[in-house]
Amino acid sequence: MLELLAGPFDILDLNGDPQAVANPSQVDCFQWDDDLGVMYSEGWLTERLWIIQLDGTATERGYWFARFILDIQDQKLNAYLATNPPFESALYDYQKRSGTYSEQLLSVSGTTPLKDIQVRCDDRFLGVSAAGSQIRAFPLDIDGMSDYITEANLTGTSSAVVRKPAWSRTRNLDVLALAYAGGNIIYYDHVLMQQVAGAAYIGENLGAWYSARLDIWIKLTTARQVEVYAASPRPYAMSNPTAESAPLLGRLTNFTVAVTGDMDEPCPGEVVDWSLHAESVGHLSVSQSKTDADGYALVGYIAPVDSASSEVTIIAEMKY
Amino acid sequence: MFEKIYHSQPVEYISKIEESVFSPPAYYPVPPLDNDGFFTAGHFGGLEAHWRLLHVFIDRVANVFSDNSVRVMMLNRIYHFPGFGVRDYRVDSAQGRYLNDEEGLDGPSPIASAPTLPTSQNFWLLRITDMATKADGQIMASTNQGITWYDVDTDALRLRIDPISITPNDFGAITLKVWMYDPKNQIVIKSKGLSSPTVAELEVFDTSEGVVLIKNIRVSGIPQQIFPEDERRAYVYCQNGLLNLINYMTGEVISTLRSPAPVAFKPIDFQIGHTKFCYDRFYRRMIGVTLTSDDQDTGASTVHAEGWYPVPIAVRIMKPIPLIPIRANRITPYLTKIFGDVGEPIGGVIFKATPTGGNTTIHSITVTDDHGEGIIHAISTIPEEMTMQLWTTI
Repeated sequence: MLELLAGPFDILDLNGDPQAVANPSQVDCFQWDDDLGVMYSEGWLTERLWIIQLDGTATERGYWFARFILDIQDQKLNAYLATNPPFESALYDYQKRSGTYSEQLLSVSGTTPLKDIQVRCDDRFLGVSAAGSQIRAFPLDIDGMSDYITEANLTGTSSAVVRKPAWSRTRNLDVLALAYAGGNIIYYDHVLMQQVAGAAYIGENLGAWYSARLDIWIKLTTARQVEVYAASPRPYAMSNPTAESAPLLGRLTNFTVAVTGDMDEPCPGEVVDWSLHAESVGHLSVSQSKTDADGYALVGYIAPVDSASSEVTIIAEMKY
Repeated sequence: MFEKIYHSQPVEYISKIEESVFSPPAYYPVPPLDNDGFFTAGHFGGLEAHWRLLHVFIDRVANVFSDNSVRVMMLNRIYHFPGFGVRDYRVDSAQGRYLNDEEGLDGPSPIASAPTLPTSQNFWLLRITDMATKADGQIMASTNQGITWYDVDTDALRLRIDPISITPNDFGAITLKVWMYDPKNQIVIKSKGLSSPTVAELEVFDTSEGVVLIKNIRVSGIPQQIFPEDERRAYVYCQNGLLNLINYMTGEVISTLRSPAPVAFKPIDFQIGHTKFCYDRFYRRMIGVTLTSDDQDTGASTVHAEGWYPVPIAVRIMKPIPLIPIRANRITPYLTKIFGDVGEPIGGVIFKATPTGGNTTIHSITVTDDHGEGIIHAISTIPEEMTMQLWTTI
């Protein structure tokens, strides 16, 4: 599981009053924005837009009830579109700084015809199936919920029946992150139209978003609190040092350990301390090394040229 | 939140008049006397009391204190026939001094009714019911005799004879309640709807050749007042306390801030706490005039005027959030953010951080950036534990 950095924080306004964060059936009424914070559009009848900071402080920003659509047509701008819940019949440009709709882009007749679209790409809209295991592509001139094709199948997902996954930009312009209500996080390349390597787990949530600017995850818990997570999992286990090849006298042999999270995810960037047992012979190349992107830390063992003893114990430790 | 830079003295109405000079009609109820035997004005039932805060605007008329004055137009109840009158109260723009008592001015004077209206309506029954400021700073008013709007000669305090050729029906409305007219660009901006606004949306009309709806602008709340800022820009004060600056020619909502007053929104213009705004383009600030409670000693009705620079002020500093896991003896970056009362970022702020636990050492601090964010680098000797205190001076 990703490592908790801070929280949980209650969502309070500037007077310290708890804000009734509604329990929306659609996670899209929340959206993390790297420039503002969590944009929370509160309820059809209430019609208030809040900006929630990482420590849970909420400030009222606007009026309109909106479901946010990630707009990645222009990658330079953290831009959004918005539909008009609960009708889901029109699509607008969304001015996030003023919290207002501007130009209407689309109007579609029917019963909630736009309710499944979540991302606008250059050439299509994206959404997921009810089971959450398929990416659906809708044309930009969509005319209803059933106007889609299945673009890709996903693995490692969870159900999207109660809440659709939250989409986030990543540091790779082609890759989007999907965080499911059950806690699964997967990555999707919208250019190659396929799931890409990398998965994580953040725990059950009302929404979770990756901040490409800060390299952290922001989660809205099921208890309606804000938590901040690292982009890497918390270390849970470390394997025994393993030699890449049989050590030979007078030669350097690499040893590695694998640091993993509780879901066997690799833990990059963790510092491993290396040492030799007191009665061991030989030397180590370094006393510390960091785990790589796959969670492996490496040390070189230099065996003596001539030794009467063949007892070598390499110790790897992590302190955190 | 705005930076308050101006506050007037309470603007008082006529507070006392000696009994000997008081000769009301026989049918008029005698107002109460105070302990000194003077008739006192009061909020209701007195000699004169405020009724409705009609309008506020800036007038470039020099006075003994400054080059401009804040003019407050009040519709008062008055003891003598016809029972009402529009008062013109002036407040100095620089020091907030109440000018009507000063030498050279005659005190609050009623705005005259129009000398001749192009109808057969009775002169004595005319009452100003609404006022607004045009984009060029000139004032217009409508009366109880109809929905027609007139230019106001603010020097002579008279309505001009010829009405402005703007009829609510042309804009699909019964009355024009929240609106503004730009005569130079021939643009009318009004709240969407037949009369009083019910949605957070404005309509922009081009009146150069007939009346053509050219755009809708969605704002951050149900609009309460529209007033001009500068050419092609206007402020929209909303009922939820938010303030938008819009460019009505392009339809852009330029900014959203929280209005500096009132603390609690009062929609009706005779409610204590009701506020009307104007933009002072001479001092580049916002002026708000609020109905305040009666003076406790005299019973006189009062208002006060305040001024603010429309720049955001910090109200909160965010708890520091580590951006990577806290490991023992590892420099860890912590993020904080300084923001205003609508969450707007405040950049360029120097803040300080102090460790509050023995296990934390602060290494470096940055100034807040365009996102209002600053980074503190700190080391803790205890894994997953760090305590520090942040503060700044505004």
